[in-house]
Amino acid sequence: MIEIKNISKSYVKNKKSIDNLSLEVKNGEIFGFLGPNGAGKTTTIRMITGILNIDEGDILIDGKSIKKDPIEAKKNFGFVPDNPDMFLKLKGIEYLTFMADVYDVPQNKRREKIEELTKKFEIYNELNNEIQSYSHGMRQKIVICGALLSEPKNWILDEPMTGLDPKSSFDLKEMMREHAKSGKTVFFSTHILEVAEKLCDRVGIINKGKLVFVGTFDEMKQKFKEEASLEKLFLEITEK
Amino acid sequence: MNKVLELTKIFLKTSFSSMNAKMGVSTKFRGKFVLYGLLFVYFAGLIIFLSYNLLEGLIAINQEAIFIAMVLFMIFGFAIFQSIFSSINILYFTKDTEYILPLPLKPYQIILARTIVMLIAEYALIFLVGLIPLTTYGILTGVGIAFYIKMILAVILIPILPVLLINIIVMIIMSFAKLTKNRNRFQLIASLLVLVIIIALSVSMNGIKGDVSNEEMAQMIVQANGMLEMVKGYFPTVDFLINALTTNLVNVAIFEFLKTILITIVAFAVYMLIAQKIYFKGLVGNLFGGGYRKSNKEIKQKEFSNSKLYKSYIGKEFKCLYRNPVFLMQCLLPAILIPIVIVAITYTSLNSKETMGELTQMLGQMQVNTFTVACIILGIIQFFTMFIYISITAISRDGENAVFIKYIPVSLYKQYMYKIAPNIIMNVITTLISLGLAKYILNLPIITLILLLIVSTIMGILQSILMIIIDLKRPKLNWDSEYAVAKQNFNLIFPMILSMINIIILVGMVILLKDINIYVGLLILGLLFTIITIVVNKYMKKNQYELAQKII
Amino acid sequence: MIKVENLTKKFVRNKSKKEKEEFYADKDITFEAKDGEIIGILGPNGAGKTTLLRMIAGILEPTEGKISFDDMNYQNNEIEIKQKIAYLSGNTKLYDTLTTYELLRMCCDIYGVSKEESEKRIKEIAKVLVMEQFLYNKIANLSTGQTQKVNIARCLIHNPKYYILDEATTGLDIISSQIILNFIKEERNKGKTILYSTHYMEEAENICNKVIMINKGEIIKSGTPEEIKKDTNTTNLRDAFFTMLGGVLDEE
Repeated sequence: MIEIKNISKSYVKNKKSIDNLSLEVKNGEIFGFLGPNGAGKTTTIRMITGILNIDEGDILIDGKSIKKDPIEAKKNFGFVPDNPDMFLKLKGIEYLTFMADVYDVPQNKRREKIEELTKKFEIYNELNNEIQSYSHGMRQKIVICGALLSEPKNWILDEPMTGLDPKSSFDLKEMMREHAKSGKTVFFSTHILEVAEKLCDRVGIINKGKLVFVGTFDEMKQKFKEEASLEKLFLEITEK
Repeated sequence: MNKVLELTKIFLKTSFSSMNAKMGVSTKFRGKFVLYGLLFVYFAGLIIFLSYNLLEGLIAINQEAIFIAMVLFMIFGFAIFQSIFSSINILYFTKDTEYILPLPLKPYQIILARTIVMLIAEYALIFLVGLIPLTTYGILTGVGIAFYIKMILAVILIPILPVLLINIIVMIIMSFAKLTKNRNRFQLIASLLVLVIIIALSVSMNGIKGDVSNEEMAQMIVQANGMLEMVKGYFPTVDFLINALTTNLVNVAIFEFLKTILITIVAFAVYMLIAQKIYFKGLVGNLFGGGYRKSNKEIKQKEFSNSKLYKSYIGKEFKCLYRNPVFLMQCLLPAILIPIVIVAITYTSLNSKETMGELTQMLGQMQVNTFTVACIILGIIQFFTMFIYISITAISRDGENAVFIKYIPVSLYKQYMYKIAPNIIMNVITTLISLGLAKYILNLPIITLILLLIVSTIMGILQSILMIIIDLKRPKLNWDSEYAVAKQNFNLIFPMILSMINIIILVGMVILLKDINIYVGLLILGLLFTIITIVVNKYMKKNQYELAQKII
Repeated sequence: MIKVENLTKKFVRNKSKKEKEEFYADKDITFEAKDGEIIGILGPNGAGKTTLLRMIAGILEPTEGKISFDDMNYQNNEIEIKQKIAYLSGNTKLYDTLTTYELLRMCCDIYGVSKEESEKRIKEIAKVLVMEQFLYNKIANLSTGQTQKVNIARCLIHNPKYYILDEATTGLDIISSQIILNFIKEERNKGKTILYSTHYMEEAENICNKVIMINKGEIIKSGTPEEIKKDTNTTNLRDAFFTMLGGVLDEE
């Protein structure tokens, strides 16, 4: 469960990039975070994951405050950043075992978990190569594997579908569904409305640092005239 | 030609303005400017001081011409050394390859532009080490205006050949590297090979000189220009330029310059011909990552095994350092290479029995186990260790991925410690090599050596902590090539400054505690640096989160 | 028109000390893109799309096969071809110390566009791609969408005839990608030839006259989106993609 309580953030004085944003992502739910480039999606995710300081307010992850108890809070989520170009000089397997060491994944479990995840994403055979030699999509996959190794309760994914081919993105979506079904939380950002519509239990739309809508996709449609095409709707929301 | 100039302009603008590109420049830039200015004055002063002393001695024995030869060879050596480090990077490891290649440019235009950029980069430093001593020479010997013109021409001409030579070697190696199974390792070995060749060359040159016995030497000195003849004959154009600069006859000078220019032009033509044939093959091979993946291998059980976090983390840091040729050359190797080169040169020059005998005789009369000697050794080690750029680039090396440290559940302080561990380890290695050398020459007692190791290690820890704090406060996270972090990074000035401060502290201690017992003196030194280290470490631990603010 | 015939890129790698293994990044690719057509190039990660486009853009030399641009080819008319192509790959922040305007001016100089002409073109493109407000900002300070617009602007500043676009809209929001897609459509209507690789099936369905699906270096299907949907008995390209990939995967 992720609780965002009245957070604000300004990079420049007197100009709030995030303005008094509150949000609760419940257990067992897939939550899609929408908004155009530059609306504050990345800033919000950076605050949830502890990358950015929170000026005002607080964020709790399974009850642990990222502000006051950062280490414990960080143990409760797995994070996939938007740029998958990480540790390019490590081999795939070295990266995964390193992540397993960081998240304290026990010896008997890690092999099973690594094999399961990498076989699912069809990169098992590449594990002995340096990540540098991977294509963009494969890098995205290995980063996802690294984040999910420790079986975190909360998944936080920043634009996870970017660069994935349809098959891999389908697999990832299936995994997200399974995860939510088992009573855990998925929070992800996207700018593809279609993905959000098919996948999310609820969506939040952010624009200019403010949350302009939270609710189910149907509620969103209802709220803004029924016939409007999705993209028009999106434009409508972002223009308000 | 116009296109070449345009391309050169792009390359130059992007490689040199990278320092002040981000955000507003104004106030920060002024600070940098002052710092650069001070450093320039410091080095210029140092060079003038050394030149002046050397020249006075040479003028006294009527051998001032040899000074010119020395300076020209130094420029030559500098050019070689610099291009070894920059050639691979500028030619092969910039990220704009995929953008440049589809442009309607002929291959020669791209090569020409890259080569010009390299040369301009070299001139910046070469003007400093070349023009200042030559000007000092001009003033001291009171030569006419013609000398200054010749001097500038010579300084411009000399670096061209080494750059072309090294570039061709690199291109040949890289066109083979394309075919090898493990490209990275090959690149690494290739770059090491070039280095080793150069070191071997310098050592063997030194060896040749070592063979000349004292009588011969004395005889040569008696002969007019004898010493000058001795150093010539290694590289033709340098010889021509030495002749041109030492002669008073205008027509001789012009003739020598013409010869040099002709050779340079021919070399350039040959270079362009070869480069057009082989450069692009290697370049494109470098671009393409996917095809060279190794065959699938079953992963061994061992590779899954877990280890303590500190081991895993420090191991990761080392892997990321040594598998990247740029970081390896810039951050890791200097720690080992610089002392080894010095050991090799000292060894070959001391190896002739006569000189060794004289040296031991001389040392026998001197008391070496003193606080002053200990401080000199520590100062020399400081000089070596300032080239270890591990800690000062610890954060920046990760680039945009640096945020990683902030979202994993490990305390930042611990991660800082893991990140500086390689720096401390390399520091100890440098110290050990240097102390080995000190033992060989000075025959110091073991207790002194151990105490020196301890003090030097504490200084290394202090250096590492201070440097990572600086990197945290002024990280450089958006870079196009590793080169921007490990070479064209303003922060790299700080290890140098710290080493200078440390040397000043050591000198101060020597003056303050002149006749103190060496052990007591070292103990005091150790204590002093331990206290500073503890304070700095406390600061880092307390402010671990604030320090990471810039990393987003 | 861009014509690609039997294009093949082979790499040889050492399996062990004695054994060598051949590896085809692309094998026997043949297709034709007529003037006024957008050809979509689709396929999973690592299928060989980027290698194919790199060969067509003259970056990589093919092992076998022919590429021709109308009556020109790389053997005889390399510079002429390069003068007329626009190649865009991924989304990179290059030369980020320059301002957008400076970068575009430099590109103009390299393509030999005259001063007055380039001023005119920059203004025009800035308007079409909606980038007037950051024309004089340093590229380092631009957002993802803005950077991609700059990338697109710089590769079409010379008014090219052939477009080779590798994942031009990856990572962009709807508004930015819509601007870019509209631009591409307009260029098509002007009779330009466009190759367009993407992961977004909806996009491909929307703008492409023909699509080519590549898997493991080989074309597994090509045709108009309608034909493909009909052949695979699906209602959209995404499902068609799965059906076909499924088939290919099963064969192994």
